[in-house]
Amino acid sequence: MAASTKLMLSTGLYQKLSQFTRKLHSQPALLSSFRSSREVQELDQYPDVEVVANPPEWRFVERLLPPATVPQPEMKQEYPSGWRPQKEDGSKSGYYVARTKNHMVPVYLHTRFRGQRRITVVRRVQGDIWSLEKDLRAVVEQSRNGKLCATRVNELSGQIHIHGDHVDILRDYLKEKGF
Amino acid sequence: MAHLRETSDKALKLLRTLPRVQIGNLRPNPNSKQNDKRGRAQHGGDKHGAGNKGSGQRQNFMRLGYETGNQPFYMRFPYEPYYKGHHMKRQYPPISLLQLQVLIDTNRIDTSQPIDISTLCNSGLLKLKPAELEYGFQLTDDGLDNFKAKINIEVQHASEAVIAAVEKNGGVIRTSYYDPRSLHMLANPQKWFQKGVPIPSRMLPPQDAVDYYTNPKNRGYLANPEEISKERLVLAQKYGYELPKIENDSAYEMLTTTKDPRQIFYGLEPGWLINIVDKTIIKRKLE
Repeated sequence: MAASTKLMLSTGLYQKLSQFTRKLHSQPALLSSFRSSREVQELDQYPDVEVVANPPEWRFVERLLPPATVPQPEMKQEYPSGWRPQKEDGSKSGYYVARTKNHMVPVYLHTRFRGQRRITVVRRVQGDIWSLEKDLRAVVEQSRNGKLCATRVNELSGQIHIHGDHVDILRDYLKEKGF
Repeated sequence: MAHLRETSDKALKLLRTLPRVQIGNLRPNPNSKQNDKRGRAQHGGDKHGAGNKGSGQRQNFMRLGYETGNQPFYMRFPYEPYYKGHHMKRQYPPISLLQLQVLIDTNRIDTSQPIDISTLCNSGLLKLKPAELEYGFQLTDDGLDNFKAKINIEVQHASEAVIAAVEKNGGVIRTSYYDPRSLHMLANPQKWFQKGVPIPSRMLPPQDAVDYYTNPKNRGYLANPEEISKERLVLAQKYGYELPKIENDSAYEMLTTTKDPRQIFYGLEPGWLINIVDKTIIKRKLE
């Protein structure tokens, strides 16, 4: 038994056998390069390599790794894109509109019936939602030259639905108030 | 009227004992459901709506548009194949200058480093799907007037106005081609490093893209750098702004950082193997 093992090792049979068994019952881990990778050849075919620990080029690799969390915005003198960081804490007005995880104002447009019905949705409202609805309706009605505007308040989920596309107006208004 | 009241009282009494009308205790309207059984034999086993004789009975439905030997309607008239080969064409999903400025303002992009596809994808807000023939990003001119960032950016397509907007702020823009495999690596570098495969070299552009990427007007990565610096001046005169001098800039080194035409990642050479677990780089030994 021992002699045959020695023989296999010495004649390269072992290598062939291992290749054969690999083909025979290969259950590679999902998404690995096991099956697609080339079989290992004679070692002298490969170039000499060195493993560099703490390489000076590691900063280039670190730059390519994505941040684990959404970065916190920095305070700057000006924001040319029109985006602004949140300032208001809501203690003055009695209500508070939280920013999204991406630091954006949560005002959205819901389009239904192939664009026939457009509804502006203000989300993440906390505190006195009815007074915010009153304020927002005043802003919308002013922009519509006094024409009335239908709204719906969902107190439980903290959402205000406003009939029509007033996303830009309301987003600007909330940003101006500091939310 | 007494009997009527009696009847309504009875009905109300009945209603009180009955369960509420709900979706759970309603049954479908009569005849709204089709019986999925098909009758057999003498009673009900006749033609089953398929008619008598021919292709109708045998249910060998003709292919769509076939007119039993006539020249079919869809082949009867000549047409101009506007969209021929549309499924083979390279796609360049747009990002506007406004979007880019928002990314910079919300601290999603670090302007102190050169920006490329991997920077945009790592922001987590933009996605590139090389499998759907997306060959990189094109920078569009939306929000051009509010763009105020000094950046070194590499995109795959950019219009003249966009190039002017970037260079006006003292930035550098370059257009470069990546083959789908390189794009796959750039779209998610971390995932690709986890494979443990040496970095390949970037392929050269295909024949129909060579003209674009060798043109200094497009700031192509294969164009002559001297001609590019000349074109920068020409564009500044055309759009009427004074070209900021990069040579005197404190961020000169960052602004002039470029990739080799065969290089995929900044600072990492083809053939290197990145081990992100042990934080080592496996390089070929130099003789």
